[in-house]
Amino acid sequence: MRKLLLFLLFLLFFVSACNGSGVLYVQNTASSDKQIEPKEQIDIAIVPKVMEIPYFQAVQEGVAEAAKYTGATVHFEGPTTANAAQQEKIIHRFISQKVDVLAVSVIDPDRLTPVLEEAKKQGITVLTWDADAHPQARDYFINMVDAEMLGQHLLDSLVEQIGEKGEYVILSGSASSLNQEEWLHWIKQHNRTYYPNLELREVAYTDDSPVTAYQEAKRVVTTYPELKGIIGIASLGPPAAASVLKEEGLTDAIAVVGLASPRDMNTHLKEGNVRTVTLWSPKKLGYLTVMVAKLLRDGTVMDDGMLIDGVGRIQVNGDQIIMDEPIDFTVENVDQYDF
Amino acid sequence: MISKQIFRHLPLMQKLLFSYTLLTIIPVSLLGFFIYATYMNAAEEQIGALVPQMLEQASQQIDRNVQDVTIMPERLYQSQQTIEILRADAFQSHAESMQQQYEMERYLSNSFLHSSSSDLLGVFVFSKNRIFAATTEDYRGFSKTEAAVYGQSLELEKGSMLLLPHETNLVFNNGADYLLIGVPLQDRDNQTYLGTMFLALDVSFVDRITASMKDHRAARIMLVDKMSGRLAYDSSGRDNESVDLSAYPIENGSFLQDGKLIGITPAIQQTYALVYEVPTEILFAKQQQTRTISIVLFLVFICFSLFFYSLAAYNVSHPIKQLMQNMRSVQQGEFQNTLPVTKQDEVGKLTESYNIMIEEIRDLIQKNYMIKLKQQEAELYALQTQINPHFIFNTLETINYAVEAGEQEEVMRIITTLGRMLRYSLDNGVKFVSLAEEIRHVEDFLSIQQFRFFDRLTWSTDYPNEAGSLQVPKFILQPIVENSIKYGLEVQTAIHIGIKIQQIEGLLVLTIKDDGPGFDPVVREELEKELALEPGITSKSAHYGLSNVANRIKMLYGADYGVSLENNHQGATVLLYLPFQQVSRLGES
Repeated sequence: MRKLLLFLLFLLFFVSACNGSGVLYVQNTASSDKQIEPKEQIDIAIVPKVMEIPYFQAVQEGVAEAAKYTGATVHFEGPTTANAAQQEKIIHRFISQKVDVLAVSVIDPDRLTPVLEEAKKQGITVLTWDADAHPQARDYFINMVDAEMLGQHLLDSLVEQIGEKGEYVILSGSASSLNQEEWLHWIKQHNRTYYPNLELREVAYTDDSPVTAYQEAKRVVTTYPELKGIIGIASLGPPAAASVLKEEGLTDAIAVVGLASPRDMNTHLKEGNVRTVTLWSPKKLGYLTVMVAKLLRDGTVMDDGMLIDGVGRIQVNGDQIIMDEPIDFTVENVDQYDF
Repeated sequence: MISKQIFRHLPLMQKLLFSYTLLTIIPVSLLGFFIYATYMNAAEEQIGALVPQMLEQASQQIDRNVQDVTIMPERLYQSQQTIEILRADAFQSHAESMQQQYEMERYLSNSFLHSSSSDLLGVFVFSKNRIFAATTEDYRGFSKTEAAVYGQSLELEKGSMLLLPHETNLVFNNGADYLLIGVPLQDRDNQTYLGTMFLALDVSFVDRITASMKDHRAARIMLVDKMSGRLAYDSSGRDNESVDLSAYPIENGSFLQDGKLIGITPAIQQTYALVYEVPTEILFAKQQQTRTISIVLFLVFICFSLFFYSLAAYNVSHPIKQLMQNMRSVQQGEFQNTLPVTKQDEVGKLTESYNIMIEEIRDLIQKNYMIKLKQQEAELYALQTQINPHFIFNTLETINYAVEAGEQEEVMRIITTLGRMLRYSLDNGVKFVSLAEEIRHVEDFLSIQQFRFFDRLTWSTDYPNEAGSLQVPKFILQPIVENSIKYGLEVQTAIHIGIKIQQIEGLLVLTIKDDGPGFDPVVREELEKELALEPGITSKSAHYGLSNVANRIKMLYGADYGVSLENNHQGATVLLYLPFQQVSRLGES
């Protein structure tokens, strides 16, 4: 009898116990785990072509901003002159330091490919920015602008000033620079397609040296008396050309367009030696490089049109990340930019 | 174990009902309760799982909406002109800054407010101590200075932030609730801070998202700031300003609390919680109705089944109870009642068998009783028919005296009388005689005694004329007369014995009256007790003559007949009550 009572009590207890705690369902929060996970401290090494020129200094400023924002440890070091051997040495050192990400503005792709491949082998995420290496040697190339578009844009800017007929030369950096070669390719292509009366006389190389740039500019101006325009596709080209034209008093006869930082061109623009130059924001490029390094390291997949803090939307085309459209600097807006 | 004993001692009917309750009602009610509880649990769990899923969907949609708004400032970067205005210094000519103000606000209005997403109440841009605002509603508050404070904290964080209405003094004149989303604006080309954009998002977009969850009108949906517990959105209007999230046991899921089903899921990057509340009584109204109906049906079922079961139990227990009562009466010697057999089931068969048993017992008793009675009667008869040897001896002595005295005639008379007496007593096998014969025998006895006692003994007889045709048991008078003489002459010198036979009310009453000393009161009481006894129980007392007579009468005729004693003012009277019977030849057999 007592056992029966106990059994009944037990049954009642059992039945009511099903209901006791009140919690009906606990949703797992897997979807939000990513945000809670503490951020891994990562080391990012950024190697420019050369340290002490305004363009890469601006890049460095952007890199520093992004480092502050992401909390990543960022090393910024490049050769004192644009020397591939020196750059290779610096990369070697970063590999031995076991950095997580290596982002290089490549001087000589042929020469640097082995060392970048080695870095990749060691598990380092290898990026190139500003100037590309051979595709197999890196994971992503962070391109400033779309090559085809830039080439067209530069030629169009020149045509706008000199018309569709005449001679021009191009001042490039070095023949080994893959992206300069690509821009060159698109300029020529565009020239052939749309401006058959426009004639490219020569492609001169500045070797990323202000002195060589000046000498080459002076040489082409004197070599081609019928010259109507100069396109500089390395950042040292346009300032050097502008200085030569100013000295020679040829600013009205020969138009200069190309890639140069607004700070370098500020005086020339204001004096009327040059009407417009084109560039992107190297600060933004530096910033984006760090952001991409960080995102890749966090396992984010790069999507076309994705929004990156402090940068905006980017295009992703295969293993190329394209930052922006080029900015034209004129006398009106040149003061707004501090690089 | 006391209860076990109590149970054992309960009547059958109660036992049956108790067992029925224990075996049927309790298991069925437990089963019912169990099924109901399981069903409710399943229903609760189902809804409990469904609510967080719906909430999570809603939360994701809210996130998406907020995210969409958070990236809206991107539109600003699409216009070089607006960026240039923001880059420009505040110190400019009045006309210039008015122009910029106009252009900026027009741009904000065109590309933010009049575009597809219409949930924005307003857009505010703070930059270098300037404010550009475009709103759909008039507003108050939100001055440059306080916006600058948020701007600065945003500049440091470089991320977006969410503000609730109570955190700013921005009030829209139509009273709309809003979420204020602050986003820092950056000059991306120069990597410098340009200012802050605040987007006031009308919370009514949550209404739209959660509309599908409000099929219960009592459901309440809230968007709660996790830090402060403040409500950013409340579907029930603003009853209370905040909710204590720490009172909730979980952060993501559903639970029951205070009679409400509450679902909760994080929203907007974990900083808010989307809470869904619905009173369980409304949520489970149908189930509760089902429960009430089930309980009522169950009670009706119990009443019906108890009623019918009581009937069944009565049908079983009642015949047994009757049987029991009958047995009790049998115990007290009543063998006359048998029970009616109404059914052919086990109880009917039991009753039948019982009836047969009772009848057999009755027959056996009857048989045994009769045998015993006959035996006793034979014994008594034998005792009484014996002529007392004393009497023979005394008579012979009287004869002897008479022979000595030479009274030959008298001797002859005595011997003749004695001979007649002996023959009467020898006439064995005859139980009944005519009244006349019995009187003659007594007279013979008395006359012989008179030879002995002469004048000391006198007697008289008085009997009806039809004495010859009336039947009485043999030797019924002599023992009484013998007693009268014996006790009378012990104390007195003379005695008279009167024998009178009457027919009174269908009875034959034989009265033997003497004028002796009468019955001693003690003796008489004893005698009367003896006479009242059942026949066949003979005591071996001194008065066995009288009691034997009484016994024989009772044995022969039944308890209605017998002997009674009376004390006169002079002497004792013995009355014998016999049935008034004609002589029959049958009686002699």
